[in-house]
Amino acid sequence: MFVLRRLGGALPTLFAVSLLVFLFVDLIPGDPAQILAGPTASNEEIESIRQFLGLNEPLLTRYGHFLRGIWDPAVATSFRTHRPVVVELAERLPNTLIVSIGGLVIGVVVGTLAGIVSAMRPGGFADAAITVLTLAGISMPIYWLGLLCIWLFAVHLGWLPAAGASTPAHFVLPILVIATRPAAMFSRLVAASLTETMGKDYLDTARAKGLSETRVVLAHALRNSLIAAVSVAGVQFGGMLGGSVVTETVFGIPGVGRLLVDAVSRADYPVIQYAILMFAVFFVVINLVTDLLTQWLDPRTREQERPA
Amino acid sequence: MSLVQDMAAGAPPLAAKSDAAPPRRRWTLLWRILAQPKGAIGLTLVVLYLLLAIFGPMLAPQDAFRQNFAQTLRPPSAAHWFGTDQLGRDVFSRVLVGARATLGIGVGGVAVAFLIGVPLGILAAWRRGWIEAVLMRAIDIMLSFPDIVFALAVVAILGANTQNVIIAVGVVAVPVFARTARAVTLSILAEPYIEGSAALGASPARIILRHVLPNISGTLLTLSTLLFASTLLSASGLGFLGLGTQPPFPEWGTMLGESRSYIRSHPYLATFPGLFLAVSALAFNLLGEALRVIYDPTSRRTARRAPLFAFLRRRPAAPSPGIAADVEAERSAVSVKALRMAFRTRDGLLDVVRGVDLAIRPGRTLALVGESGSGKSTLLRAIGTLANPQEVAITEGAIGIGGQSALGLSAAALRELRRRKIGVVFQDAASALNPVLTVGAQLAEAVSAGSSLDNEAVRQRCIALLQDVRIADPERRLAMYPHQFSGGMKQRIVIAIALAQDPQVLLADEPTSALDVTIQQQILVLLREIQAKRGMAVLLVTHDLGLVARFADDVAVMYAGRIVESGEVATVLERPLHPYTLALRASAPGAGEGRGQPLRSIPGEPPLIGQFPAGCTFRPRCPRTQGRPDCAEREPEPRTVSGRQVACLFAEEGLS
Repeated sequence: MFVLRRLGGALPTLFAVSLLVFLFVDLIPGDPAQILAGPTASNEEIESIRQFLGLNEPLLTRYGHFLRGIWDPAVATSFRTHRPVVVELAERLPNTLIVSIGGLVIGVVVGTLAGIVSAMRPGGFADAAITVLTLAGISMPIYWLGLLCIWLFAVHLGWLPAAGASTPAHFVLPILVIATRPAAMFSRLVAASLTETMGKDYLDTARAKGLSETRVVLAHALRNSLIAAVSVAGVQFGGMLGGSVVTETVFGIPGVGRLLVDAVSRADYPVIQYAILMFAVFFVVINLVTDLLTQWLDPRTREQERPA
Repeated sequence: MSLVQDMAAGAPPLAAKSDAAPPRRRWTLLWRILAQPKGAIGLTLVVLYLLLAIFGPMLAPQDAFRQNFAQTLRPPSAAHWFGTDQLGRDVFSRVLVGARATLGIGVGGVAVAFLIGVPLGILAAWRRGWIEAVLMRAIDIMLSFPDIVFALAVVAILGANTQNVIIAVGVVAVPVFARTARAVTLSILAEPYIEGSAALGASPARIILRHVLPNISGTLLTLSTLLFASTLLSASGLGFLGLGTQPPFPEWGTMLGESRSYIRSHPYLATFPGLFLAVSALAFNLLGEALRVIYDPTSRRTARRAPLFAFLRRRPAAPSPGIAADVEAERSAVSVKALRMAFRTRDGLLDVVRGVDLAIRPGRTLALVGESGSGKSTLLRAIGTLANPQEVAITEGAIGIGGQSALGLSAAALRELRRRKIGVVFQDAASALNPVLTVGAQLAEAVSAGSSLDNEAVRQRCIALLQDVRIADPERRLAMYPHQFSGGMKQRIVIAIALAQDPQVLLADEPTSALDVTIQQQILVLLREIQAKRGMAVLLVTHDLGLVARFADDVAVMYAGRIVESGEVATVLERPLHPYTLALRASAPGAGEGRGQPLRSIPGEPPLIGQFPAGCTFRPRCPRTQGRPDCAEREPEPRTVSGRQVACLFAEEGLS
């Protein structure tokens, strides 16, 4: 039931998002065709661009067209390369997903471990060190960190390739760099919610059973803390997909983010529209999945049986 | 890049405060920021950066725009502190000149977001109805785009230049401000005094200006500071991508973007703009954290912290030599000797339990009675070996459980002691059970800890335990979660867990005060039956004398960390000799001198820990002392009077 309700709630959002992205071209001040054609273009050239973008059609037809372009490669083509936008996106998506998912996994694991260490000995040396690193992590511009890593590991030490996406080794640096933010976020989150959980009576119940402190923390405290962390992981993942526009530029990875940046600087409107739509749909779906996952992890919010 | 969304996720806790008294005066705020290391460092750096933004362009030693093709890509030197770039321009001068643009974009972006978001949020909270619905929906939709992607879209529509970057990063942060402003305003508007002034006819504008804005300003200040850091990074990210401030104008992100092509050969080009950018984000994050500590009491994780390196001073509690042998030699199930405990606080140790002797024989129930703050729960936790050594120290004395000293044990020995000998029942069954594990899993853990039973045997044992505590249909119940049980049922489950390995001692901390009266009765009867069947010793902490009379064999009355009167229930409650016990009895419903008389409360307040009066601690509230100097001189030691232990110099006066 909840699943259906939540799905029902996401549909209007998706509709509004698609409408907003569709209206993107109309929001551009002035005539987009004129802008694309440049100041010296003739009226025929401008008209052919209008034709290409379908700007002469009625709004509703154009919206239908726009939606069809999501699955029909023949409908939407890049203004610059004249290749179907869907194909352009599909070619680059795997690279983006590898970096984002890899970064998220490493970030979550490292962050959770750091959070546990931090919460176990509040005020200790490890906690102080982790707090400093965490603050540095959220303050670090990842493009600068990326450049520093390229210099150190690729140029100075020569261990890893600097740019590209042709071998697995190419993905190591981007994944590590992009993992810093979720690691920092998670370490703060896990530390905070663990510290809060550590005062709960049920941990004393667990201790009174004669369980080891490790087991008390891992099986009882952490499990409760992680429910809150899952929803943040979802937001983080969405953020990392967005962050791919920067990471992919730093590391020269041919991914969707890089495609979007290039499209923006070349005013390739169809590509911009579909790339943004894809990011947004991913984001909405991730939020949906996160909600469902949190729901499933926390028995209190599952469909309730009658109290015994 | 997604800090904006993280903040949105973190907004409810940030917003969930309404009772935090915001510092009224500016200087107070400044002092409170500087009192924290984070705040002092953050504020200093922020001030330095602001000075840099104002005076940077004037301080630049060279023309930041002058190209010099004879001097391209030079490493740092005396003439060019940060080296020169690909066009021979002085990087140091460019960093100084770029400070204004970089920080200006951040300030502008936050200002845009603040000026649009906050009024919208307040409006939504004030008018509710369709305005709120539309706004929340719009925020949902805006938050459906990753923030940098949204900013890119705005730049794609408007074109890449400094002004449009400000608009882009500002618009991206609008939902966060609107959402937070709405949440905090809602919580303020729900306060009774606001409803009061609305009822008195104060105009909406006046209420918002006088009550809402001052109360939400702290939260918004915190949010602005933290958002400034993320806005700065987003804006410079756009610059890095070549979609922000356009060359040749120096902005740190744009400079980083240009340096990317030279990272192999001339890494120092990326070093300085990046360093300035990272440190500025760090500065605002530090300041924001400090503000958050001030304005959001729920985030004050540091408040409970022990000082750094405190663990060096902390050794596991060991029993005082000599007495340890005593508690081991005794035949009591529980034996406490001369126990002193103290809370660890910033100001040092504060005594909470001050020299307590207790003994419970197998099969007996001892009730420990006293007002809140008397130290009875702390004592129970210490006996249960559950006192948190980071919060409370056992400074003296010894505790024996079933003839074994419970202090100074190794971790393994401690676990073994807890498994085999001690069972604990907490006051609030709802929080004593882990909400995300099934009852079966929690029981099975207790049964199998330190034993080698196979799964089926564990299951059978769990079922038997649930039957022991009178839970019907145990097989099915094992798969259920705590929230699916009523309060009384939860307490039965907690008891079942406590009984899992046939403990010799059951410690019950107000086991029924969270339950309604009929359930209380059932639980206590159950405990009594189980005790009779198994011959356990029970320590029952309570403030309910009626309960003591019906269910306990012995009673110990605790006041200000000491036991002031103890003995058999019949003896003590029939004719209390300590004035405090007398007062407690008079204030208990149904246990007073005669039913139908009005309840008497004990005059005065129980003393605060760390502020015990000299002499007898009950003296300020005592009707018997009547200013006698003996009472103020020394703290009376317990002595035997008429069949019980009592710590009052004039106990005999109670006999007449």
